[in-house]
Amino acid sequence: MLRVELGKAVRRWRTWVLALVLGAVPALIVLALLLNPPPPGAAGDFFTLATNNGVFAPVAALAVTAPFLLPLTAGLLAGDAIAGEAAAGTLRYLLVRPVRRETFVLGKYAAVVALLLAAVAVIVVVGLIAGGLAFGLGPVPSLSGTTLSAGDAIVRLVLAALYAAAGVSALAAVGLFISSLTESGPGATVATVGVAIVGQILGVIDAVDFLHPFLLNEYWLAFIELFRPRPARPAAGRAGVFGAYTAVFLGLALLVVRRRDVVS
Amino acid sequence: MTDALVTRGLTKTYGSVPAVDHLDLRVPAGLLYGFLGPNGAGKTTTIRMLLGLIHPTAGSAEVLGQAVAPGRGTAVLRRVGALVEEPAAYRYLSGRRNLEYYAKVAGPRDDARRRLARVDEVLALVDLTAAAGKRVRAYSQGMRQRLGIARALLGAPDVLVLDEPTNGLDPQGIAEIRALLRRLADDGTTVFVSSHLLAEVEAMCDRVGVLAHGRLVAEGPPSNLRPAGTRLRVTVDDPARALALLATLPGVTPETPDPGAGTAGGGPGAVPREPGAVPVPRGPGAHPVPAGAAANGAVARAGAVAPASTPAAAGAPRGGRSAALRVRLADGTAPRAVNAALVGAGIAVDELALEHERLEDVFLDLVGGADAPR
Repeated sequence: MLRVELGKAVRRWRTWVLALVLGAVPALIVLALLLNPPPPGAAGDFFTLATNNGVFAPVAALAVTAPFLLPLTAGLLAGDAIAGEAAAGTLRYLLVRPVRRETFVLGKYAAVVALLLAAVAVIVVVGLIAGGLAFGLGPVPSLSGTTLSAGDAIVRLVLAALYAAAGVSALAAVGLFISSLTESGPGATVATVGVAIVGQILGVIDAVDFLHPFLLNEYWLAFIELFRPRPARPAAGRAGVFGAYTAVFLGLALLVVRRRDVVS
Repeated sequence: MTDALVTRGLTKTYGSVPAVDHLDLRVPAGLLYGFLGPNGAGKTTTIRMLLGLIHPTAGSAEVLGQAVAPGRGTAVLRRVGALVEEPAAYRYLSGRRNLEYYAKVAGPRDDARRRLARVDEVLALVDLTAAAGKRVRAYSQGMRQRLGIARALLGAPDVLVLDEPTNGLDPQGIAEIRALLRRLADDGTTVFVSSHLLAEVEAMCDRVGVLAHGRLVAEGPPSNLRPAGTRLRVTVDDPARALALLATLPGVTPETPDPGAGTAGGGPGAVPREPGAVPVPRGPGAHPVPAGAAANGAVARAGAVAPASTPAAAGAPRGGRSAALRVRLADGTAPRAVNAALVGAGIAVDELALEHERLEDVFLDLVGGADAPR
């Protein structure tokens, strides 16, 4: 199921448009920094750091895409996954082939996660190439001032990418659940992106700070801490939140699809 | 002979409306079986339950002896090919890629070369080889229909369930698909075809089940669907006496010209009907009256009808009590015998006309019985 789903995805224009948009982000960041370099000695955010070392270009690109573009990608892929098949009428032909309903849901989710990993990989690889060409890849000064070797920096970069992918995959599980409830792919996409946006709005309202530990988006940018010598909070806890979201919503999607009357 | 498809008390209720209502259906293996009914009769809902797409409200469905329901009977569905309503496909993939996808998704561990060979085979079977490389987006409705049938054939199924397979095809395409289905049935595949066209099932099926309002109202060989003989319209000056006379003639069966005076069902040559599905009187259109038991009752009721209220009387000559009657002539009974008998009894005959029996009327008669609200 996963393999044939990916085979289907690579023959779809949508996939390549998404890749192009996501790949354009790090390229644009590097281009902007080249055309308009920050003053030397400016306070050290990723954009400034990237001009010293290309390794930070993909990190900056991940940080820029994590709040909206990556959730949008997750919403597009996951929202369409079940609802799109139902709306097109192709779902019933899968089920009578027969593909077991559980296999269908898990296969769809696996395909979405694989594509999200690919999306993050596009950002990182394009960022690394563009950043490396523009600013070179050397030992990395970390946010706290100590230095990381280039190899260590790449390892942390990969971890950061995996973390970003895990965060957005948890949102994709929410999207898959929403997708299982409707026959409108675009509707499910909008709803999923809506979940991300509402989460971010709640995240800046202090009055509901008791909710903050339960919001996915509160954790999406935490990969930044990988570039501190000692992460402030254990990453395992955050991966736990992602895992819990994934398990709960994937379970709900399975439940809905198993019980559903396929009348589309 | 074993049964390929069986439903027992199969029921699906949406809200309080039964879409399929205690349906007991048996489709013997190896037949080309027509599942006839008007739109909304519950054909597609039945098919969806047979394929495990929706949960029955009550009752059960079996395919090749195994129970099928959502989450059950996955193994037996491998031996089934299906077309359910529109032949939906991935529009951004070519016809061939669509088939490859569906072939692969069901049997990812099958031999790839055999799988591709099978895709070529089914493309050729539905005459789609030339267009196989085009994206489905660019397909005509007929081509999509062919693709849907090709997909149903992918797994070389023992049972083929096709929901209105000739939809959107041109006459030549219809003939081709009919021939293909006939060939498959002759080779031992059970082919279950739904249709709302009597002519279609009459032309190709070995056996027909007629569905109306979720119930089976008739079942049997297609030749039994049409009443035997021909229908004659007789316009006379004394309809009551004429009817009484005609009822005594050999090979002549009076039909009631009156809406609301029929008791169809059960006669010799008529299609056997479900016990719970005896048609009730309904709107325009005459019911064939069984030659035996009900004939007298029909005469009495027909005589009581005011001629002007019958559609046939509208065209009859004015004056006197002239009115049109309808009788059914058994094969071999000539209209002139009817004329001679009437004239011999002193009844003036204004007109004798053979009426062409439209297929739609036969169909409406069959499904009309379940029209009454319940």
